[in-house]
Amino acid sequence: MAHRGPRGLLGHKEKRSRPVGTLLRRMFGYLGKFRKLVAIGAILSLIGTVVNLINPLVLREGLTVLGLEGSTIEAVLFLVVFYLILRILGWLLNGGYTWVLSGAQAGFVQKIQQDVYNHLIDTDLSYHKSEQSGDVTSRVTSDTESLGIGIQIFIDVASQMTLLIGTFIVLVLISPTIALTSLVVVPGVVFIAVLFGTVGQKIMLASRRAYGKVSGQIAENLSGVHIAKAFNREDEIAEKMLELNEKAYKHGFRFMILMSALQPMVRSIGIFAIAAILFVGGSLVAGTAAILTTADLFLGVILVSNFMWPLLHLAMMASQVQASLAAMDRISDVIEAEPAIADTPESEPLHEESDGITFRDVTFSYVEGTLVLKNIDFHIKPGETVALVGHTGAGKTTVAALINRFYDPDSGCIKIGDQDLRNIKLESLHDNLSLIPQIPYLFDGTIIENIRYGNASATNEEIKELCRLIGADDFIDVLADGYDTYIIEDGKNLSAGQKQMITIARTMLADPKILILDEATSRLDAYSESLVQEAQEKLFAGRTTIVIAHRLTTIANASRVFVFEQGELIERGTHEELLAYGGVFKNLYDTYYAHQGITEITEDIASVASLEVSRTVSASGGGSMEIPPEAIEKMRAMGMDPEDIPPEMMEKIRERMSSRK
Amino acid sequence: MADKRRKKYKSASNYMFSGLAKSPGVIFGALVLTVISSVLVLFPNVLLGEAIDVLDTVGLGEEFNTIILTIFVIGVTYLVMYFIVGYSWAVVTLRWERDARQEFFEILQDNSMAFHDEIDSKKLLSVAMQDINWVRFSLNPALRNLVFALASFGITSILLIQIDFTIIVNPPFTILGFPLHVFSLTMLLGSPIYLYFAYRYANTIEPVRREKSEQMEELTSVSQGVFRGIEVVRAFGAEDVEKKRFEDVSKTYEKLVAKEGRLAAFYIPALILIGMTTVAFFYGSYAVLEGYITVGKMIEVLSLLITISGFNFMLPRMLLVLRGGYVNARRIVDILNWEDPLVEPKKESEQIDWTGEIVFDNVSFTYNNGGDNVHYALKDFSIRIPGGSRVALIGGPGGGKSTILKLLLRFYDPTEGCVSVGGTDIRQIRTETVRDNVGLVEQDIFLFRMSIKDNIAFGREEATDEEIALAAQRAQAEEFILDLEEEYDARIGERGMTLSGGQRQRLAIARALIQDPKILLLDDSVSAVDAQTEFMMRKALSEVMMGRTSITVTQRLRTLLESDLVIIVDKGKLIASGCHEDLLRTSKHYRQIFRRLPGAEQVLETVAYEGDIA
Repeated sequence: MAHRGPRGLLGHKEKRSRPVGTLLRRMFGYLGKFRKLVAIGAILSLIGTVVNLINPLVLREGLTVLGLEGSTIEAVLFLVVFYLILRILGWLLNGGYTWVLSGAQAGFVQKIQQDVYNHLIDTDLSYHKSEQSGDVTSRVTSDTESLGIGIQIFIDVASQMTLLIGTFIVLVLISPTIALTSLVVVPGVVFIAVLFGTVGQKIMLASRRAYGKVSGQIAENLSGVHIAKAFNREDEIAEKMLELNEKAYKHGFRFMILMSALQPMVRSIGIFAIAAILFVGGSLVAGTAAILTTADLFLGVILVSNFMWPLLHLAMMASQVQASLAAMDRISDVIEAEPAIADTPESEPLHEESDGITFRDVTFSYVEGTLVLKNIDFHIKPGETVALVGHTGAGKTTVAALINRFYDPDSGCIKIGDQDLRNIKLESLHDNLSLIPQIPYLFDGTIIENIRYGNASATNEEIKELCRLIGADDFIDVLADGYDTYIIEDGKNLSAGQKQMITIARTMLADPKILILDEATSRLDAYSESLVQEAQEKLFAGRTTIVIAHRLTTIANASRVFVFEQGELIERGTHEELLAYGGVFKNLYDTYYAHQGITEITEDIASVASLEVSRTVSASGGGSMEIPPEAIEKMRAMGMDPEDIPPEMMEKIRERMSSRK
Repeated sequence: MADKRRKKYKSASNYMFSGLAKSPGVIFGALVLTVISSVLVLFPNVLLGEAIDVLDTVGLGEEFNTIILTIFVIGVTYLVMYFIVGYSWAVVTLRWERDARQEFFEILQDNSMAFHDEIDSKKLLSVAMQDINWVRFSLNPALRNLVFALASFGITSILLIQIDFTIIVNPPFTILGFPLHVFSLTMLLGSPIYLYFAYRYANTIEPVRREKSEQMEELTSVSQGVFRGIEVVRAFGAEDVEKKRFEDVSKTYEKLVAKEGRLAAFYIPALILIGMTTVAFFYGSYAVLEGYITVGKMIEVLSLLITISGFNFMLPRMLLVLRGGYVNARRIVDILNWEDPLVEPKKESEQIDWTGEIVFDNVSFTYNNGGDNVHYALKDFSIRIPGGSRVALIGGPGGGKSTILKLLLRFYDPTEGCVSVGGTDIRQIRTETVRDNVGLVEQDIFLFRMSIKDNIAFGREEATDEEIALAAQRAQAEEFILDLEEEYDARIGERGMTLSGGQRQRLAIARALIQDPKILLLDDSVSAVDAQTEFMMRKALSEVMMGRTSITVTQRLRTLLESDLVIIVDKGKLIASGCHEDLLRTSKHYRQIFRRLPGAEQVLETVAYEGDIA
């Protein structure tokens, strides 16, 4: 038996989507090269069981001999030696079984882990997007473990069954009456099994849920501890914690009581069985027509306890088997999912001369029926820098994802140079192409390791040089351990801007032929951003670049601007051309980019203010009321002169002020 | 909270048994009952032997029936008694677990931010849940079962020795005239050897087992890291590298699992017990043949030994858990005994003028405590901030901006120098008081999974609904809140309830407004918002800044212009400070930064640089 945690008995009960037969076949199919070892283990275990079955028979034989007239110690000695040999043999067989199985089991689990992990690494991104990373991880960790236990359980079930059936046969051979009497334990064991299967299961689930809540609350409180401190709310949070803790205690207590009751219940059933066997057996032994010897009676008593434990085990193992099958089912989901995006035999590496990006009539949807990109057609020349602009959800990030071939388009094709993306080896594609994503992601590890992710062969000096160039060196240097500062929890000890700087350094180190920046500098201050831009211009001059931009300066620097709206590419041209054109870009410019400057600010606020006020004014205007002097002061501070505000608007502001009260 | 005197645990065993020590009466009673229970479990074996003797001599009859009835009664008594045992242990140990977890959490929460920066919250969580659970598990059922098993060994020994003494008059074997008590010897020699090997077994396996569970943590963290960053892995074509890395980790894990399993195979104590049973079998047979004991006695001996061999399975495992629990307790105690560099003043200064001047006097600060090369986040930093002023704080990443804010909140104390408010060193003010008077709107807004109302009321517990609504209005958050289906009762993070960055920021502003602090710290680094959001945000900001000292980390041009004081920091040092106009004239650095801000060119043209004053 494997060592399991305090909650080892708890299995999940979940709906399975595959028939048991398929799952079992697959489970044993997975054994592969371990099949032989597991078979050897199973055989050892079965022989061991048979040996264990014989042991008590030898004892009975000994007692019988003792009961005979004129027995000598020699006759007993033979039995004693035989008994010793059997016991040692049983011990060896059992040890051998554990030895063989633990190796096989460990290897088997590792093989599945690796297989599941590899599948998950290659599986379509949509899977990862739709699942929580913790759930995905449990496919690799707890589910594979559960399968490993499953294999062992099957062997255990087999040997327990052998023991059970063997014992019963022996009992019948001694005396059918004793055998029947031994069945008195059955209702007891069944009662226990049912109790644990129904009420126990419920109590256990409730207890697990309650502990889950405690755990979730601790996790949340730990990540928000700075806020609790900043607002002096530690006491209230501790109180809330106490409440959940108390609940978990109550449920845990019920569960514990149940578990504590198990042992005495089983043992007392054993004691009752002794009484019953004695009672029934006694009448068979006594009297003139004795059909049973005292030795038989002793054997009966011993065998009944032999009989009870496997029965209980079998009953308890049912939930374990269920859990293993459910795990196999979930693992099957992962393994059966063929990644849609994979190299084919025809795939070639990206050619040296292939550069520039072409979209030909590309249509794409994440979910069927909801088009995210519609008939996109464009060509980006080698060495050109193009800015993609548009509202949130216009499809800009999707364009970046498609070029990275995280997904394949529903229709149309994407080319780099003359090569269709679908015919380029993925590894070669990603070697030549780099994306700096919107949300920086850092791995647990040191800063320098994280940067080196872009290029494993880069020296420390090269990395530091690059960081100096983009201005990341300054902040890395003041961190606790400089470049060797260990990053935990996706960089909780860094600011968003710092994290972004590290991802930028990582990508620049990769030195790709084609660069895609998805709002890569959104969390940087303008000064740092300009340093990054300068470095980018210096290092990546003349390379094909796509920038998904939010800042005016970036857009103005691009050679062309593509404007996306609701999945369509609706305008393209230089910044000046588009401004002059006065279409969607002009609107975007006015709402998003113009206010980033200082000069337009007053005019901007006024126009937005009017828009804002007219939009939110409540229909039920209260009585007229003066605008409070602080509000006027505020407007002044914002650069508005109250005298310049048109009377209608002043009226609306008044209305709004009064409706607040 | 802050003044809570922390109880430090002297040692791991001290921690482990603190729960039992709390209710010594209950535990003592339970221990006595445990021993009685083990007597009750073993006694039917004695009665079995007697019953068989009765059958052999008297046959069926009253005596025989009495024995059977006694066995039955013993069964019932045991059931009841051991249930009480289980109940008492459950009460004591589960209460301990509950209190230990609560205490652990409260201490974590009380520890200063230096602690939380240093230690991974995943680890803290797993200690809070698993390690504490394992310690409890090592007390109950492990210790309880262990006591039961040991008591059974002891009682079996006594029963066997007692048989020896019934035949002491005429012992079958003698050495040099001294009687040889074989049953007694078997038990008195066998049991210690048995226990020694059982303990050795637990001792060998425990470290492997711990290593195994650490490797499992590693495996989990490697896979989780990769799955969360799967896009990065793909974008850099690092799939093969990651597969290899995983293979290394999982192969190591495999080796440890196999090693643990193999160490557990061929469990030597079982062999010892086999030896003991065999000796008893042989000696018993001899004694029966020679007429020293009855067959019934022989049966009694054998079934007693068979009963205690039932512990073969449980005993080593319980020893293992008990030993493991000790290591878990050590892990917990290590965290509990973390030395907090932040010390609360014994007696708090009274009469603190929160509206007074804020002074950083030669402040240096490093996040690194005890490392070899010290990197300063703030170095020799001095500034005077007049009370009631609006201050803008600018500088690149790592310049020291957020450190300045954290020092003002007293999340940390300066490594050197001192921070004072209205002439009082803030080290002389309790953190609770500091944080009552200093408010924060942080950069990455953290909201709890509570209703919007509760999130706003987080600023001040007793806030009324009206106050909450007013704060939301002033923070320009009301409009989007009322658009939500459940309005103020909508819960953050539920049913896809997500808020944009701008909305979260306005909620945080409302939270700060409710708190109504004397000093407000704002880390305002939101970019890329549309003009309307920007407008609302500015309104909210000026609302919240009114009537208090405010320090804002910003990149907004307007904020710089509207501030009374602009402070520029870089690499932890003060570069320049002054109002916008002065800085434009006097600071090259400021002009440089300012130039990069969109739309700044025109402003620069109108103000000529006059050279650094300093």
